[in-house]
Amino acid sequence: MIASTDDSLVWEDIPVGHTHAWEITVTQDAVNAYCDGAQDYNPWYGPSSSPFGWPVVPPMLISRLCRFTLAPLGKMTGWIQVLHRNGILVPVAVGSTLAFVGEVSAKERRRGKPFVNLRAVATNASSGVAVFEQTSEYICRERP
Amino acid sequence: MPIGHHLPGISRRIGIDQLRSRTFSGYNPIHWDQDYARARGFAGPIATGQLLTAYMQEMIVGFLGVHAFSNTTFTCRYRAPAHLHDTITTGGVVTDRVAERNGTRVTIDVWCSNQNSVHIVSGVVSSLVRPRP
Repeated sequence: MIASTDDSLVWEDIPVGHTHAWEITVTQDAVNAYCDGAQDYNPWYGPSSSPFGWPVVPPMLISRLCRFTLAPLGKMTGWIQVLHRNGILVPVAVGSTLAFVGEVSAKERRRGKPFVNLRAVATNASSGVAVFEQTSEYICRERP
Repeated sequence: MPIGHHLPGISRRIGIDQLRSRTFSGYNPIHWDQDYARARGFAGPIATGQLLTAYMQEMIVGFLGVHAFSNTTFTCRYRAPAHLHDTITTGGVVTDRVAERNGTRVTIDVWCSNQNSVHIVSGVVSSLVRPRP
């Protein structure tokens, strides 16, 4: 068992029902960093255009931006994601500001392991249109 | 997009630049710290599952084009870790087509395997393919 660091979250302290809201503007720089990490240099992701008429955000970048539900409580250091379900609702233009709302939807022990489930929804902050939704499941750490 | 059609896969070798990347690493040392990852029971640093999903997304965008950006669900289960220097290959096969009011709902089984042909991620993509205007 690894000792918990000061701000790393453990299963016992995760409150089901906890919610957190945050906003992120998806800049071309953030998209470029995603493309470098994924080694995916599709020209639709900018800086030139796409069939939509503008550079489009890679959906899995939005998936990564859904991960801040627990940020006010601490870090998910050592957690391991085992499942996620992404709902890709509409294309998102690079430069859009997205408003996220995340929630701890459940936690349980299965086969002796501690699981936490999170849910997040992203909407376009300007239009209010829902653009992305995600549910995810993690095996997290326990208190030593 | 006939049922049984296999998507062209892509292969990527996971380097330290990917594990340390701003997007796919973050603060979690399990993705870049050898000692920490070993203490957690792994052979070494492991890639975040979403990096593997990004590889599959590239394959899906190549296959579905604009349809991959709306009315799509993408479910993944991470079954085994991907380590530094692993070579990951994606795959996919069309498993269903159902006519809907606004187009055809296409279901695709997707996966990632490593250089030992072990399936480390399995998933399902469901996307509404609309007719061209």
